[in-house]
Amino acid sequence: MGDKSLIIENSTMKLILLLSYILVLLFSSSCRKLEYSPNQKFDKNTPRNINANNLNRLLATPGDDTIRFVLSGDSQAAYDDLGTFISKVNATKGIDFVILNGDISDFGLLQEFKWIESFYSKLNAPYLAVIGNHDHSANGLYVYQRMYSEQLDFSFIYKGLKFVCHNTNSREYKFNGTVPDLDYLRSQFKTEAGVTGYFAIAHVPPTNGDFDKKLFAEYGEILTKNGKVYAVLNAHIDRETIQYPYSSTLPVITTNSLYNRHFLVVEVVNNKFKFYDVEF
Amino acid sequence: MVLCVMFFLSPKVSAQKFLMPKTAIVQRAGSIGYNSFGVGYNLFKNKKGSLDLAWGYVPKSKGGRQDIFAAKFAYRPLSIKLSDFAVLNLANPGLFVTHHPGGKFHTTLNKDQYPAGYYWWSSAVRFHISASTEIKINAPKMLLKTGVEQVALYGELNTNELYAVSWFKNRENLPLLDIFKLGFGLKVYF
Repeated sequence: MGDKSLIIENSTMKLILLLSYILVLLFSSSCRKLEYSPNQKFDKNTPRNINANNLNRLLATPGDDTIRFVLSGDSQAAYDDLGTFISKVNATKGIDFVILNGDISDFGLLQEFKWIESFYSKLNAPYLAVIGNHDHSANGLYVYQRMYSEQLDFSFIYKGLKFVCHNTNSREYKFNGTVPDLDYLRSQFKTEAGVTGYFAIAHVPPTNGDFDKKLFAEYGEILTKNGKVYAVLNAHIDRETIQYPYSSTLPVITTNSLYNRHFLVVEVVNNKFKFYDVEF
Repeated sequence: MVLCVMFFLSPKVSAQKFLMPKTAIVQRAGSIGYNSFGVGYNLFKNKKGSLDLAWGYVPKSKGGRQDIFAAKFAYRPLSIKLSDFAVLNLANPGLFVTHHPGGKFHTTLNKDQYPAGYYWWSSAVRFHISASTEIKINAPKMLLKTGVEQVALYGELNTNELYAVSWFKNRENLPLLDIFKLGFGLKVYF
């Protein structure tokens, strides 16, 4: 009898040990590993309104009279490259802010947005993200809107320059004529007092097949009519290009992708605009 | 006549028996819903394989309302007898497919909207690999009357092909464990 109860005790011990092993496995590997769906629009730890928060940070910094910002794009699946990118940008003097110009994610999944954010949040300068076509996949649009900006088109004025960030991913809307939103752009590019120059920032360049052809001409008209637009800044095509499809004074510039380890530094000094490519 | 009726009935009876689920699961997380519910079958003669069919949901407050349908296959190569009434299936590899219904998700690309191969994956269907650990105990007497023979508690790690691709392209800086997600559940064997 004594022996038998010993066996039971032993196996009960074993059982308790193994049950605690399972419990430890389940809970100590932290609730962050619990995933309800890869298509979750958010989880407990998802940051919100990053664009608005970073814009407040930007507007609160005094800075100097040089405006210098980074144009980066297509961070999709570039996790191996982002550490170096962040160090490089942080080591560059006088960066006011950083633009992540679309295709934040590859598949529109929350996990991808979170991975990217875990790198970009290490930037010393505030950053703002613009939506890309890949970010429209699955629930990516909702993830973007919750994490970055409810409005896909938004603008801000910094040191007398106006930055108009907008959605040009026309193909994702079946070229239905609403993207880019020309009415919005018309109102944003009306010349206004105190603004000495403008930038149009969007993921898909107007010269690309993913931009709504029907809107190409009018889009250019709005920008050229303003007269003070320094450049149209795009990404999407994974190489650095400069084109003048509308006028010789309006460059359309694309930045190479982060995956290819490139970004652009854009500067405006004494109303003069210049930019250069950085390989890292 | 009677023979005729018997002829038509008998396969039906065996089909019913065949279709009768042998297990039922309730699961939390594990990429198939906030909560999911399913029924399952034993596979192979040694009953080491299993197939679970589950429906899961995510409530609005937990990540946006959505439904997920899952077909999960698992194999239990190792059965460790812990005591007269408990068995541990320590490491069980598995595969599962999930379907995410809804207008936001595509199974095949809309040909009018995209050139062929524009996006190579389907946002509505995910392919997962998994590894689970399961501890199974004989049901207490009071449960035996309800037909439940064993009750199991399991924990399961999984990843999907899109996470795997992300990891494969970034093996230097993306820890492999980062792409594995957790779920746990209760399984009853009839």
